Amino acid sequence: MGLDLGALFRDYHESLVRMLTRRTGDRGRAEELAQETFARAVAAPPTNPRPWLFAVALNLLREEGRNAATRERRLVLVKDEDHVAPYEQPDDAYEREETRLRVRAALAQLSERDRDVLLLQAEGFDYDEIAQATGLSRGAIGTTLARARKRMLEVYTQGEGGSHVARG
Amino acid sequence: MSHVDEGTLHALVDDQLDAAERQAVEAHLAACGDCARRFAEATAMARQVVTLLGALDAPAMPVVVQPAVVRGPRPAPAPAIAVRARLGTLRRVAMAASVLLVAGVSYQVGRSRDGAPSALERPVAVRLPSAATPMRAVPSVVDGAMDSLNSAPGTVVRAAPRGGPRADGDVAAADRAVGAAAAAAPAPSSPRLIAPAVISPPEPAQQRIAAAGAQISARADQGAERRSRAMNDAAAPAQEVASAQGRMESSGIVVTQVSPPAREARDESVRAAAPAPAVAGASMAKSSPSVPKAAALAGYRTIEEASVPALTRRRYVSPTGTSLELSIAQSFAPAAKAVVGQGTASEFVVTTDGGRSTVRWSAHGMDYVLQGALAPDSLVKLATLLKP
Repeated sequence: MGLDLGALFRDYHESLVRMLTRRTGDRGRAEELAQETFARAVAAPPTNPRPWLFAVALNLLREEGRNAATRERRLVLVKDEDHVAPYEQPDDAYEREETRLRVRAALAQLSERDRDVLLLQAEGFDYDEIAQATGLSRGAIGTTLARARKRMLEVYTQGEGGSHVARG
Repeated sequence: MSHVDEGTLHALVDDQLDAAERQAVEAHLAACGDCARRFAEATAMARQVVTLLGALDAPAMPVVVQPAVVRGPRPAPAPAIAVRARLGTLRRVAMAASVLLVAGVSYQVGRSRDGAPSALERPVAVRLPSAATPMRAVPSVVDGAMDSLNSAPGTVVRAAPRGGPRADGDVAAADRAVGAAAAAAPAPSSPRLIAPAVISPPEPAQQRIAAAGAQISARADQGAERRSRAMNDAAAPAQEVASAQGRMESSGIVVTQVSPPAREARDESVRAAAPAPAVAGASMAKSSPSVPKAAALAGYRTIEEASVPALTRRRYVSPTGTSLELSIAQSFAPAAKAVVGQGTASEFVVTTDGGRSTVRWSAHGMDYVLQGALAPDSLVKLATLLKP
């Protein structure tokens, strides 16, 4: 029968890009990783697509981070301006951006594994799928999420009022 | 009575306990105030995290999508190499005081802020050359430029001399008409979106164009609620499009067709049509090792109304002074990301906008606009091509 790439794409692409965007903070990079992931699915069609796709994507991300040559291929940014959405008031945009930065900072305080588990759960993965995608045991997922959620909120709350985010 | 550990509490919050476990935990919670409180806290935490993660996503924005340009099968010659060789003429062409011709019928759909599609669905018309234009060569060059650019189907290039024909009355009037129609759509998105300009063609060509355009647009208008269906209607009868293309090409117009995938059972017919250059991604398979990925996915792009990330503008500077403005398209098109390779160091201004990539650059006294979904590496090629 072969892989129904169209169905795979329809079902998972948006979720994958969203997760990767949350993970990396870079939508363009997320899209590129997603494309690479789907290309690999074409090459080696998975039987259990969702955990497989996300596992591959997260692995690609890790590999990419380690690959200096790939990093250099990234966009050479001279100037990056964030523009206000046309209907949005500037102060709303500012606030949104502030929140975004704080959330990103809070996520950054998590271990890579905790962060991945959190993001997968946010994409609607059940614990079995999270276990498959991350290689963790199913029994460990609840504890991981408990820790990740708690830590993320701690850091986020500490960031309130513009105070320096505590490390730890 | 032993209390419930955090992991189990969170598993209950996430509804990941089996029936027996859940029953046991719930029984305990009913009897233990401390654990019940911790469970409530865990629930609140989980909810708050979901909300916060949502802040990392793009805000929903009004979207005006121009999903398709209609292109029929290419004429038999024009192999990739020969066409690319003609890119050397791009500079000479650019010097000509003429309007570069790109043909297309695109479908513009305005969307209201809450995402509901508007009633606006109509073909947007076509740029045509003035009488002085070298009509055959220029579109081929442009088309070749497109082909070598790993761009996804539906990419359109237009060019005009700076301050030139765009200033003439026909263009301005046509722009106003298009702009007015776009404005009539509910909550059109950023003014940065390109509204295709319409230039009145020389008289003899006009009727042929109108006929071809009417043919294509008639198909699109036929009761199509969903734009992808409309485009498939336009895409499916390749022969009709081909003959439309024939008529148009005799006037120097290249009609470009994109075949977005049908969401339902029409996948088969779309795939069957895919090998044709109707899916431009396929024709690009020769040009780059990365293209097979794009080509593999190209036939499966779905035109969706996706939320648009905040507008982001990036500037990249070229030592040669070439400047490019680029909008990164939305992720619904897998080939929609543009990446600049190192070494080319061209200036790009990147704007994320309404589901389309837009590249603008100025060189040799001409302003160029490239629209469509750009595959990875396409900017590398583009920058290479434009280096004087």
